[in-house]
Amino acid sequence: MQSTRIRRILAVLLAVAMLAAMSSLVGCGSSDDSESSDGGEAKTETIKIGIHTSLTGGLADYGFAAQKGIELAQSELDGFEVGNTTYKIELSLKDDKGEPAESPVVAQQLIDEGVVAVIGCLTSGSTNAAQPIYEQAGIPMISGSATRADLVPRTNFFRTCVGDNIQGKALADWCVELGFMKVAIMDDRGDYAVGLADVIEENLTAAGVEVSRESGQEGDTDFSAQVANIQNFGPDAVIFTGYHREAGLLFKQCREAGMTGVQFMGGDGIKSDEIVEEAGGAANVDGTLATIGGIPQDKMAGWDAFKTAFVADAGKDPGPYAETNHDALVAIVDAIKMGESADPADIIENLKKVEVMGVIGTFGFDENGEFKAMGDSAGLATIVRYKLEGGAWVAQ
Amino acid sequence: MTFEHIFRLTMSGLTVGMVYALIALGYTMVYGVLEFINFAHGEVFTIGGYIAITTLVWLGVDDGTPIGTKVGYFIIALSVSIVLTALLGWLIERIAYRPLRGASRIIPLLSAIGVSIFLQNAIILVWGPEAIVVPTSIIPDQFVTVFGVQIRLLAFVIIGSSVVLMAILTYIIKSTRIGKAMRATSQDMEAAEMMGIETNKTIAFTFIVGSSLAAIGGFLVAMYYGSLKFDTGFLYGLKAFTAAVLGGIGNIPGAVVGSLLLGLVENYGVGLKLGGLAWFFVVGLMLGLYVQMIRVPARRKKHIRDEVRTPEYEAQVVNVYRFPIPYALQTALAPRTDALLSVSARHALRLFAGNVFLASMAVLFFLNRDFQFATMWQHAISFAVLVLVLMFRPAGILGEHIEEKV
Repeated sequence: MQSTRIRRILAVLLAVAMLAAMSSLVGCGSSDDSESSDGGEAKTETIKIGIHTSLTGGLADYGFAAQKGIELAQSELDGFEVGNTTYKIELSLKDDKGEPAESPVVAQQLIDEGVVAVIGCLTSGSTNAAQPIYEQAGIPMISGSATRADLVPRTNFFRTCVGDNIQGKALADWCVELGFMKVAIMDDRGDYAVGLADVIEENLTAAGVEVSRESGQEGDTDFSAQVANIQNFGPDAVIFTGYHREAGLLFKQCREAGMTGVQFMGGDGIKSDEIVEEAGGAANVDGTLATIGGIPQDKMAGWDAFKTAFVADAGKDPGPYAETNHDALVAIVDAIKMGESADPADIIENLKKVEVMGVIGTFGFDENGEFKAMGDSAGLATIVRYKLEGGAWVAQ
Repeated sequence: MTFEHIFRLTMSGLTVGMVYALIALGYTMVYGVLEFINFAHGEVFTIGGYIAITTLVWLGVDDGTPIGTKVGYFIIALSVSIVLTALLGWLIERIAYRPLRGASRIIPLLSAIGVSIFLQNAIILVWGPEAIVVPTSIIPDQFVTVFGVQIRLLAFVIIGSSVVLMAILTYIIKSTRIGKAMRATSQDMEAAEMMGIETNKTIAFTFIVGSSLAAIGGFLVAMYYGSLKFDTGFLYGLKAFTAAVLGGIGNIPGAVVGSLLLGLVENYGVGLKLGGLAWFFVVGLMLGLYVQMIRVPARRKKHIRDEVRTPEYEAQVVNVYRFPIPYALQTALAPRTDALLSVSARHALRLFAGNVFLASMAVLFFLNRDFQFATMWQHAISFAVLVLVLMFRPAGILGEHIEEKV
């Protein structure tokens, strides 16, 4: 008797809870409609924008830069007006730890919260995993750092960084310029690293450079087999296409195995100050070369003001991709202004047409969602070269 | 394929293998005594490394520290790490496993997985999710050049100290009172208890020894690679567990053999061309032929009962092994008249099939001698070898020592 009664009470409670949840969801959805349907007088609307990034894990430094960049943009743009509507921007910050496996869960959370657009994801792997879910929900996503070549074209994906087909070619060209005849390319088996490595290999092979490919597992500590293979191959340069932690370990182990006079190179994933510590000191990685897509910082239209504001807010220099993430929010706001609508479908349509004036300069997106420099910025280089000198990255 | 290349692969295989061995011993000892797998052991290893690094940083070792003081600091850090990690191992046993003793075998296993997740998160809480980096000034970075190959002195330290530790462990188990108690507990816990052995204390001691070894492993890995992450222990634990199974879980020499084999396979498998790997099959084939042609027939002859022992019958038993296709097939297909012969026939055919497999692999590898597995396949190859070994020897290379488990 007792137990059936308890069960009945529980069932009733559960039903009530479900009803409450449903009604609150419906309420959320309808409030926007009712507000936007009546024109005429001035009103305030709150739009929720999701930040889908990696705040913990190996890429926490990239995630922090992205978060601060976007928050700066929010403080600049909050309360923007379209027609007679004032929009308040609310950010919802979510962490996927840089792991593709966690990414769909985060995407679903953001969709359930009712975001109109998402800035992210941080990594190509996460983007690849989350994009179909956002696509199904019709939510636009703009990434400031997911560079893998085959992420475009998709119906709802845009990026404010330069894709890896361009970056890979730039790295290959750099090798050829430096006169390397044998190059070892190693990836970490992740989406971003393999994509970039494939592009580099393709371009190097086309240029007649001998290439050997190795793979390590992201999260591994020991790369001795790979180092032995690389050493046996005897390359002029070792390119690691993954992220800085594994890059640091690999370069350190290469040096320890006695590889001197070999040029270490990498993509935007290794261009972090943390690589110095991770490689066991500047001596192991000094002279390392890295590329990063985008307009050079000294040629960016709003770089100086952005840097000052960033330092004031975060207490340190802007990390990689802070400015592209900042401009992702600017682009979303511009798209809303253009269509006078904060509906996700309208934002997607208008993102294809906007011409954004951001920190990085004037830009838009081509029909595939790829970054396109426009206006004054159109002629500027889209790949920047960096060299690690005395423990700091110096633009070349 | 130069000699330097092979030597380099061997050295790194041995170094990695020895680290696996230090961890695998913890798995195998606990299995030997309790017949359950302590999945939290990988995290115990990570925490050992973290504690050692933190202590060193706290002591403030740097480049300027005189070498004598530096060695002293290392010993202090290692001791602190061993003591705290052993305490942790003891606590885990006391809190998570002892209350479940006597329950179904799956229950402590689940508890172990729970402890593993708990410890990973504890590391994140205490030290943060980012990798902890050992300050460069702390790491000893001397090199030696052997056969033209530059090798870190630390690699030799890892190999040497592992060998010494294993010798000490063997001595403890074979020749001390507590070792005797461990062996007795592993054979039959109830009987041991009735004989006046305090099994709870013995089991706690097993955990303490296993955790201390893991702490030393964690310290060595941190020094060798320069960084640790909260989930480093997961992969190492998995590999070490694999190695323990490969060598025969519950078997101490087996754990060492399995670890070295795994370390070497990981390096040779993706570092050598198939032409080089084929030699392993050639050696295997020679061993297999020796077993099939000489060793087993000689043993089988001893099984012949005296009343039927005739030179013709002996020759028949030997021929079943030496020429399995005609003789063994004939015997195996014939109506079952003679138990020894028909058992031998089937045994001979199995051995023969194994040797044919080895021979065809050798031929296959020699035919594709210039092909090399991409390093992408590193973990897959290790796993394939594990499956292969377990297919032929389900109990592992040295077998589960049921009577001498620990």
